[in-house]
Amino acid sequence: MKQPGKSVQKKIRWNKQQLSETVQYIRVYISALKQLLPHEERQTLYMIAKIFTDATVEVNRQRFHVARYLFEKGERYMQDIPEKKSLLRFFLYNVYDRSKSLYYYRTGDSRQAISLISNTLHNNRMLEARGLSFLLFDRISQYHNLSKVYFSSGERLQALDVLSDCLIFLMTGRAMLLQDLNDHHIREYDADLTAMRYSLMCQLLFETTEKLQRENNAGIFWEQSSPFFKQVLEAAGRLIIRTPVEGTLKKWLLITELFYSKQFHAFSEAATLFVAHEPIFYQGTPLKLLVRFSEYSKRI
Amino acid sequence: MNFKLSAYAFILPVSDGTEGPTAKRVIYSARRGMGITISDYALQLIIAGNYQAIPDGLFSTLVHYELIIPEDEDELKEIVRSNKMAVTDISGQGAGRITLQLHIITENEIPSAISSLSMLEDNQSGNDPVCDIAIDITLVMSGNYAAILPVLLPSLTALCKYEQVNLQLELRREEKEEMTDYADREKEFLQYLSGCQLYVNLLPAAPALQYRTQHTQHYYDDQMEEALLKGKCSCAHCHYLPLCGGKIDKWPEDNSDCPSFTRHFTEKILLKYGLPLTTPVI
Repeated sequence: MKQPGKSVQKKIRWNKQQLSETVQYIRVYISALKQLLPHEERQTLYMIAKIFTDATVEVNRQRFHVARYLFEKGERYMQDIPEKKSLLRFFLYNVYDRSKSLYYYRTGDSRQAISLISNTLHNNRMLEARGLSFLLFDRISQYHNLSKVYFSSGERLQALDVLSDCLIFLMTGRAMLLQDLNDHHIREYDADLTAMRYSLMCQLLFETTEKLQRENNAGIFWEQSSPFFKQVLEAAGRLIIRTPVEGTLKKWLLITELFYSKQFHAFSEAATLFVAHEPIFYQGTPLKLLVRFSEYSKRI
Repeated sequence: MNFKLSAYAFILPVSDGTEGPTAKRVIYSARRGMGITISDYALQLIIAGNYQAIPDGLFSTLVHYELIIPEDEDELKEIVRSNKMAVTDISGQGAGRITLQLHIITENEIPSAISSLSMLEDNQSGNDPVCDIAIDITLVMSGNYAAILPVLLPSLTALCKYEQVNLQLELRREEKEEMTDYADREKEFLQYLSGCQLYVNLLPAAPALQYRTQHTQHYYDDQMEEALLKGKCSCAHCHYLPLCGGKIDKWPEDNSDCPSFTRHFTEKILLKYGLPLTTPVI
């Protein structure tokens, strides 16, 4: 009944659940590790990272005692890594800070969460300079986490500013607010990087829209979402399309632009056509969001 | 960092006709309740402790399954302590599992069993599924399983596609039936399931957060922690412990008070992964 290997495949995805969750990412990550770390150090990394990733799973299940137990266990092993193995320590801290920041976020300690997210941003920049240029996407993923902390502490505007600037950067290659993103080492987008970028754009855009659409009052929704979409949609015009799925994403953005320019009739027609003819992407979430936009358009 | 093979790893051959370094082997972790199929060549590397020669992908999978662990880890202590922590967490969260036990002794009980299974399936596929709650379904079958199982198959198959559903099948032990006779019948039952390609999981999920006494079950507590860590309970030395949880008043003289999954354990692993049961297991 249960297919042999099915759950195995699913569980293998454990180690990058908090990042841009793509197969490409894991493949590129392991391939880079092989070039930078000796075999013995990679095995140490897998073992200790597993403990922190298990801790992350427990945090997500709200089993904080087990999570703390696992963090303490992993921290003990980290202490035994000699200072001279600096690259291994960078990789370990990359996993540790990300996992522990989630723990602090979920237990309501925003200050510690932000502090560890900052560490990860710094750490990622060091690793990017050592040849792991794709970790730029991990940096953006950290900004996504930062926005979640801002949301949870009631700093909605700050959260939306971070998110819109990340999206602007992903679409245009230039950030306005988060200047450190402009300092990166990606010179050319191959298929893996293109897939990572697309995955992250969708994640940031659709998760944020879903969060904003939890507001039932159409007027309040308009007020709260307009500044975010105004910036994002302005950048969408400069989004260079590299794959057909990115073309579908751009169409979605252009239809949303009709909504925010109050061309509700044109929006409704375009949204109906989009839902009827465009392929389902990102598990159908964008279509559901368009339907919700349509409901708002009738009440504004 | 140095590593070792977990004491809770079970290694078994697979009789698929291949021999030599490419022959298939199953390595199953009682700590995680999960196993994988690997080549004999890879297995020999693991057994010899030649971890440097193991490719990254396989190594990280073995680590994830807790088959390879840090050399200095006291596994018993690790299992008991983390179970106690988990119990502290779930006691604050309320129910985390739905347990359904269906006893199907005669064919007359099939409709009510299907009704219960359908109700659970509707719940899973509806708008508001119980996503985070594990559902344990135990079907206790009579000797007439060949007539009952095919009727229940569609409902069971539908439910098993949900990750959180853990299905157990048990063959009912008849009153006054000798254990050896029951064990023989159970072996036939496993052969029947394998012959029908019903690759059900008859093993419990790990970790077991409860331990048993003669009549009841308790969540892990100080009493059980002490009994295991100080060796006062023979379960401390048992390789099934992570799946079973242990029994504080375990009979010292024999294993007839052990849970049913421990019988024909290796065949049950092979069945879980859809592998042939035809040769004796090691």
